[in-house]
Amino acid sequence: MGNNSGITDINEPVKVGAVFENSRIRPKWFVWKKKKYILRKITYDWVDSSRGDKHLCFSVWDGRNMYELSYSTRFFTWMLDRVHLE
Amino acid sequence: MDMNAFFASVEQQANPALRGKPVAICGRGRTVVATCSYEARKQGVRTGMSLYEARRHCPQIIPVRGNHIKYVDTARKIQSICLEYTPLVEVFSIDEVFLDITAPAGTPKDGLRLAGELQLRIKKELGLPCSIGIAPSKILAKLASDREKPDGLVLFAEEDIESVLECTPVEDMCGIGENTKNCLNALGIRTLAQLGRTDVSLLVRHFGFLGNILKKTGRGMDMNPVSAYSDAGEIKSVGHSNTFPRDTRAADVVRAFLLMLCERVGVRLRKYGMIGRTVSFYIRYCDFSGESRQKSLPEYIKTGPDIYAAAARIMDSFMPFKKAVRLVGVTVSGLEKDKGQLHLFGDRARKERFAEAMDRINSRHGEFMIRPLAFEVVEKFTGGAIDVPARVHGFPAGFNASAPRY
Repeated sequence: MGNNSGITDINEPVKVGAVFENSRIRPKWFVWKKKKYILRKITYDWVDSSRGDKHLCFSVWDGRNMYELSYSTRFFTWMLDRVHLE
Repeated sequence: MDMNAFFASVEQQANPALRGKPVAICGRGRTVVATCSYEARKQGVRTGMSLYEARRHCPQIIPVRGNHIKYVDTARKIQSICLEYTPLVEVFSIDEVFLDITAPAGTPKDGLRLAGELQLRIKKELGLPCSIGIAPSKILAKLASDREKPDGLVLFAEEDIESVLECTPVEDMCGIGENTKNCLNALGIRTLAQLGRTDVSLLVRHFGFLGNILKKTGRGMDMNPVSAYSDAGEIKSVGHSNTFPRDTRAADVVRAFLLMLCERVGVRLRKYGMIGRTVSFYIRYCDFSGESRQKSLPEYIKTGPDIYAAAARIMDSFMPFKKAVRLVGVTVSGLEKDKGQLHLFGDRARKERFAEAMDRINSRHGEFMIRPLAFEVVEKFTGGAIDVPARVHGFPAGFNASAPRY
């Protein structure tokens, strides 16, 4: 897994596949720049209400790199916020 | 309860590659260590060090950009867990809370068991270490929680308190800083027990009314009970500050940063449904000296441009800057609930509708997707190292060109 010294801000909308488990939404894969990333683990999640509405944020790992995804509960949109490259 | 190396522990939890490694939490631009992991502390890294200095102590240090929103949300989760044990949860800081467990625990032994359970739950559910101190008063509980880090669990039972006070230096007690410690030491007072035995009139002579509090502190007494979580006051003010990546005297740069801060304050005011009529501006110079001034306005405001107009007028009174500027900040206080009926028509109503439309777009596509052109000055000054996100793909070309000019 990558460390944060390799953080890159992305802030791009992405297509995400997610499931609802135990009353919570959990991203399982996302497509970014035409490539599909299968997520192996959600390492952390938090809520960001600073952008005017509620965003659910996730630190996720695809087996190689860490990514930060966020979901707008108001607009039902997903963003890839950051990538932590190996 | 004190979360251990809180920000660094959260980042280590979020990114398993950081676990067991020396991590320094830094802001963007400034390369100063805001806090660091225990692995880094073991190698001599301390809060406030420059990253350059930290690297001299610990060449393997991993700098991580802090994410305050993540930490605030984690603190809320911790508080929610605490509230399952008692409604008497008082938030002392983002990583410290007091719990009154008299009712659920009853005896010190029960208190120790309950604290151990709480510590385990936080570790299991959030993966974070914490130290808990159990004692009859808040100040003693804080002292106990500081005794063992990380993962400490320390009980000061009634019968132990005298010996604890006898061997604890005054500066170990929360609230006794360097200056007070030096004054107390000059009076021959080195331990808490000595402080507790000192005549109160002597303390009042040297410290004013604080002498009474110091006397009680020396006896481990804290007359303030743990407040209930539900008593936490509503928002009194909304503010933002920014430390520049390097010190500057350039007025246009300071103004551009100020506008960005005012926009952020406006967004938060609108989010909370508040309006305010007192604007405070503060400035810190390169030598850490600072000045602040506030102005009360004839009417309530909630938009970035209105806040900026008031703050910039105050800033003008500090011009020309006597020294290079390190930090500026702006706060709006004198808050009231926004009932939304203040300005139905006219220029003010247009501004407010415009701000709300900006909020909707920015909340969907990222903070400052639509932003004043002055932010280009901020980006240029910081080399892009500021929390103004890049343009979002998918918007028509030239979309940002129609951004408002203030």
